[in-house]
Amino acid sequence: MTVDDRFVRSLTDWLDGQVGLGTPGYLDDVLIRTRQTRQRHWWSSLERWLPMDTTLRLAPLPKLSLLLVVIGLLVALAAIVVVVGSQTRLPAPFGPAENGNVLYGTEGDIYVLTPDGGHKAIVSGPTNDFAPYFALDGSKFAFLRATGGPGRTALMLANVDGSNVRPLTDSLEDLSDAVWSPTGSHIALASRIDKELSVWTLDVVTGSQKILVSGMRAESLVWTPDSRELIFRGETVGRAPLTYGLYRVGADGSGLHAILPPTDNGEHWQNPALSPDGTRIIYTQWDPHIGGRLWVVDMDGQHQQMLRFDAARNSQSDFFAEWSPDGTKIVFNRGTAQVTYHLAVGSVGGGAVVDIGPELAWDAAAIAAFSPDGSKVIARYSNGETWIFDVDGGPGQRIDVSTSYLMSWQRVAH
Amino acid sequence: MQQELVERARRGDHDAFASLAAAAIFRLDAAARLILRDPEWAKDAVQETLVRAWRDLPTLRNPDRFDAWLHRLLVRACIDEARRLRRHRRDVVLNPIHAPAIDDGSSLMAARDELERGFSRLEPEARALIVLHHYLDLPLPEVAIAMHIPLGTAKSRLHRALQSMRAALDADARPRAEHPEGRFA
Repeated sequence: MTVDDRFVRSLTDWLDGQVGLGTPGYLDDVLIRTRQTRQRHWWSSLERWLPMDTTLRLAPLPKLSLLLVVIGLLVALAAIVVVVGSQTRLPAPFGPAENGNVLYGTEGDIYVLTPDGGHKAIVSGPTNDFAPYFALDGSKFAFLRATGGPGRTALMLANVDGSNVRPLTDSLEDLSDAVWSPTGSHIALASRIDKELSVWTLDVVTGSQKILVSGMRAESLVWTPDSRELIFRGETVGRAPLTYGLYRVGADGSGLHAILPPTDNGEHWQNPALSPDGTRIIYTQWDPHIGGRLWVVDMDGQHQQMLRFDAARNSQSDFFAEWSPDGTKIVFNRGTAQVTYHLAVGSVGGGAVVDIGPELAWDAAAIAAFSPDGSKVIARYSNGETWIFDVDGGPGQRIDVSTSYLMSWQRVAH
Repeated sequence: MQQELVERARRGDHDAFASLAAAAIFRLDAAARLILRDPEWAKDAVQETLVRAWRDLPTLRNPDRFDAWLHRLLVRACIDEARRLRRHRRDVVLNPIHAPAIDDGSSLMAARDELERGFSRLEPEARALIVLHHYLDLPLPEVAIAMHIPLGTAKSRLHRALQSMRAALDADARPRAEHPEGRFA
């Protein structure tokens, strides 16, 4: 036996001797907690659920990239605008924009990725803050702050530089989504209000709240470009049978109706995303025999169509798509027969796709979005890594920080 | 049997999950205590692990991988806990978790104290590597998966962690070794 062998043997014996016998006394406490915890849908992404994996998802997701050299030019341009006495220009809430800063939360603080690749904390302190997300005009951001208790968080607001942090809500329960309106004046939320699962809106200026839908578990909230309606995937609660539907409702709470007929099959209408022009919805539907498929449908429920792509790399499933800013491309997950997945960029017309990023074990899907200018894709993988890729492929660039949700890319006016 | 329980738990059967949790909690608690060096912190990490496991179980693609997946959740929870504690500037408790129940001789006690010191000096990530491989007996590819690092990185980090422990132990022993052999004969 070598010295190393003896050392490892001693270490192993010591490790075994460190631990006592018997079942820890808190198993019952854990089971009480789990009994009160709702399971995620099997298809859902890591980022959709609290407490660690919450994503403030802004419809459509603002797109990020590291073209931060452009930021310098934009800052200079903004300075000129100020000098000549003009107001700061803001981007339109939909469509392509310039790439601005990148926000993320890690270890309880909110950071900005600076143009030189540095990481600067802009909201820090003893609080546990996470999931920052820019308003679509890039002028402010919201984030979540843990408030104690399983899955309980408050929605916070801050200026773009991290100053003037203030709460927008008290502690929220069962928050599953929060989405900026295109106007930046409201945020739509899906959470429990007075113990009732609800879809509601919050006026970020006055603080007034309006419940749009109650008694329904909602996710994937998306505003229409005119801020007059919301679409969401809804699940009935408290009455049998459970049904799942793709719904739209007016921002004043009127006109709730299903875009497509509700079904008792939970594998329908998943991860809906609205095209930038507000006319078409892309969603995922799972079939136990053929896997995931992407479908598009008009906002009025007409012209439902399954997308067909080239079966490159032995692909078996296509799922969870997001639109490019100009609406001509989508980025989505592709599962393979080898039980791996990768990202791909294609067209809503189907056909050829560009595979991007690594091939990873299929424990959970990646969350991906386009940069504001549409030239990049930012992706957060289930192992916590964030990568930025050119939409045309290539090796990509890894951002050297681990997060529990997709980073937010600021949209800046051209 | 376990696979059937996992399948049932994935479909929302909480009793099945309770059986899985009961079977795993001793192993998880022991590993977490070793990684975090504090029973209360370990309890928090294990509770978080099992709540996440229940919540996310429907997303587990392969029921055969339940144990490996659970280990990955545990490591993540432990490292999150360690980082959270670092933020709050709490000192790491270096006392042994369980003192040996029997008096097994002063030399063995001294060796254990040295191992304790060397192990406690490691970062939680390094302790997690050692615990996964040398306590839970996971093969290195499984350790790499649990730690979310490439296999080569797992090998090199484990090697460095063990070397670091040995170096610390050697340093502790050095004053005695400085005496030439036979000096006190």
